[in-house]
Amino acid sequence: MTVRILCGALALVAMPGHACEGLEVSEARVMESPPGASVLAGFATLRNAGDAPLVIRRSDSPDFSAVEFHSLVRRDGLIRMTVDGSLTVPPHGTLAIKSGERHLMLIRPARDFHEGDCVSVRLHCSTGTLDVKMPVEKSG
Amino acid sequence: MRSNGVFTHGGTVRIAAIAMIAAVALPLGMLAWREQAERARPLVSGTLLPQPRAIADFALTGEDGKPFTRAGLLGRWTVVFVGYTHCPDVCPTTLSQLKAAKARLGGAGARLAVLFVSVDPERDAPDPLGRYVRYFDKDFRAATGPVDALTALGRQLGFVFVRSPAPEGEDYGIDHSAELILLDPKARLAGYLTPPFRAETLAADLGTILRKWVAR
Repeated sequence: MTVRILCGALALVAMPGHACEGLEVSEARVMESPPGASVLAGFATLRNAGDAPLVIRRSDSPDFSAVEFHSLVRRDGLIRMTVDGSLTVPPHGTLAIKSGERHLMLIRPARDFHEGDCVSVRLHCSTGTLDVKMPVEKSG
Repeated sequence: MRSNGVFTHGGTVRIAAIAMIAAVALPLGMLAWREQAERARPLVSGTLLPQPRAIADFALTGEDGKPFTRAGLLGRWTVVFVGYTHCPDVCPTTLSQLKAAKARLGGAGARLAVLFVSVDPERDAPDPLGRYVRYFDKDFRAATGPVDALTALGRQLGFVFVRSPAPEGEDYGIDHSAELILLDPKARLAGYLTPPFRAETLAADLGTILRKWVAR
């Protein structure tokens, strides 16, 4: 709990740069993965307080070699993972990046991350960037 | 009931005989009824085959590096989940839910085996595969094998997997079946549990399945 507050506090410190006008991030978390995992999943709820659709064109992180936007499609009993070129948050609406539907695909971590650690992710919008601190949590 | 012979005798004998028959038949009938009820009890989130289907032997490698064959499935109910360790969301989430469901079953959970079948033999060597499943539960097992062997097993158990091309060579994903496959203690295909999963529902269904075997 303490760790989550710390991670949240860091996110606040990081936010005043706010070049992604109107974008608010909540419920950010990264699912702890087994040691040696080459990919981790990040989740968050994105809210757009503005009047126009907010497009996140890409994302990166100093903790990972790449970050991708993935969505899961279930069809004919098969789970299909697709890579999305960008994320769009509707005006005065939200986009839920949540388990079973979407995730930030965090590729090749610089080190093993454990529950309580903090992951930094930068979102690139058309107007600038937003840094998000995501606490690492156990699944379930 | 073969009661005609009994009714030709005198009253006392007849009553005694009926009582005896009832004493035997009633519990038997109740047992049969219970068994029927257990069999008919539907799963919250899944389907049981009307008749379990035998599966042919197969040759995979276990997370301990030893051969993993059909014999490894005998004696306990097994829940099979098909995936791969480079799977960021569905696989860790499902394995966590299985761990939580197993914990909810308490002592009965010991009669349930969990097997993670990796359909990514190229990247999932036995050793890291073992570390991966043990992270979730020390009793979880894993197996993988040549793509041909996995495809053949998939045909028997009803799972499919397709490697999806990625822009960068090594970061490919694998589209895979999301169902949990249920195998009975005689290593027969018994049914499926269907996503989305929740630990509570999983525990309820797995509990139903474990009771079913006892009822037989």
